[in-house]
Amino acid sequence: MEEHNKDRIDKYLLGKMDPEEKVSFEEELKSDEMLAFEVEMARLELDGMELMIEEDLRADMESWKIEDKKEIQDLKDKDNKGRSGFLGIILSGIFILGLAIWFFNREETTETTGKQDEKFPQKEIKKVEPVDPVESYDPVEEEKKIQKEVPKTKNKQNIDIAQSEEDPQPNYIASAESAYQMPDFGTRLKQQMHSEKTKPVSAKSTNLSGFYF
Amino acid sequence: MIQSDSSIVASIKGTEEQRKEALRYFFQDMELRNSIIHYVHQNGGKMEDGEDVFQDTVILFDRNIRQDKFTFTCTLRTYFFAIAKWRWVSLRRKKENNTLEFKNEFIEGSQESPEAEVFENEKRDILKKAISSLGDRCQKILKWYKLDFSMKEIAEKAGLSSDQMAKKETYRCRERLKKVFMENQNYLEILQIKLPNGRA
Repeated sequence: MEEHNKDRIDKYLLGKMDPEEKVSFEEELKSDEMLAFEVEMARLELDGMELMIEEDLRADMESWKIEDKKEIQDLKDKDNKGRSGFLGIILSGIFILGLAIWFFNREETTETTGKQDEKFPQKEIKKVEPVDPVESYDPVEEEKKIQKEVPKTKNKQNIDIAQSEEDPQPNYIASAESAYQMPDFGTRLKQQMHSEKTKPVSAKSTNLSGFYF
Repeated sequence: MIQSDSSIVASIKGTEEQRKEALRYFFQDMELRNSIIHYVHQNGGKMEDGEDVFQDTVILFDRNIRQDKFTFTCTLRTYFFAIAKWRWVSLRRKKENNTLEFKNEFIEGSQESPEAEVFENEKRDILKKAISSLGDRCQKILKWYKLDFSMKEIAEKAGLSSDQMAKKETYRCRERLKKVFMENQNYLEILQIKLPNGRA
């Protein structure tokens, strides 16, 4: 009986009664004090239930907030990991490339060093045994060497330069004329040139600069 | 995926999982959240007030949808925003302790006096105490009952053999809650509930 009454009360409180039923129920409430009390108690119970739902939803919202933050953080971490991974790949690539360049360079150097050895074979270094200057000195041999060298120098010193035909004084003007055809500056000029040729060669006459200009 | 207003309403009235998914959809709607926070900020509130209003709105929105207060005369987003506006006006009134005129065609009982607010807060505290005295199983069963789950669904969720058993269990849990109120007469006094003649 009480259970049935509770169903009716809930129906009224939850607004599920049709208008006619609602009117008759409210009439009943006015006259039945006990029913009115039960309605108030049922209202409290339903409010209590609603409060539980509200508390649950608030807890859910807090957890959604945390999850959202976590998701955002995960996305950021993922992004950062991706970036650092990419950076790592680039750095390791650079390292490997550098290592490869160094390795091939090293091989090439070894090869060229080998070729150079073939082209320029290393000379055998002769070992020179130290000589004791006191023991190796022979005064007789030394005297012979000096006698051989002296006459050569004496002959050179006795040569008469003026009579020598080996190194005659060169005629610079003649050689210059034969090598270079003089331009025709007129007959007077030629005559002068001729007379100059016939003059004995002196150090001063070799200076022709004043003649042309 | 949630698409239309009617499907959202159906989800909120549906299973526990569907309801949570639909509410989470609204909770994660950044455009809606930002517009509410902006509204609160523009109307004398802080950013934190805006965040509180948004969360309160989710709760009121859920309750109103389940109680069939949404009549499809506007979009759900408009309805949600209207609840948020009403909520901020009511919170602001509490804070400033003065009366603001605000007419809301969607919400019933939006005109709350400061005395009513005090009463609501006291009632809330008493209800919390009463609920906490119940066991976890009873709390769950009563929550499912209020979420309008059928007795068959409650039986399945609670591991009971039949819907009749679920109904009996629900009744038993309600009686236990009622007993908490009856045993604490001061609760009834604060809540202004008079005992009928012959019951003490």
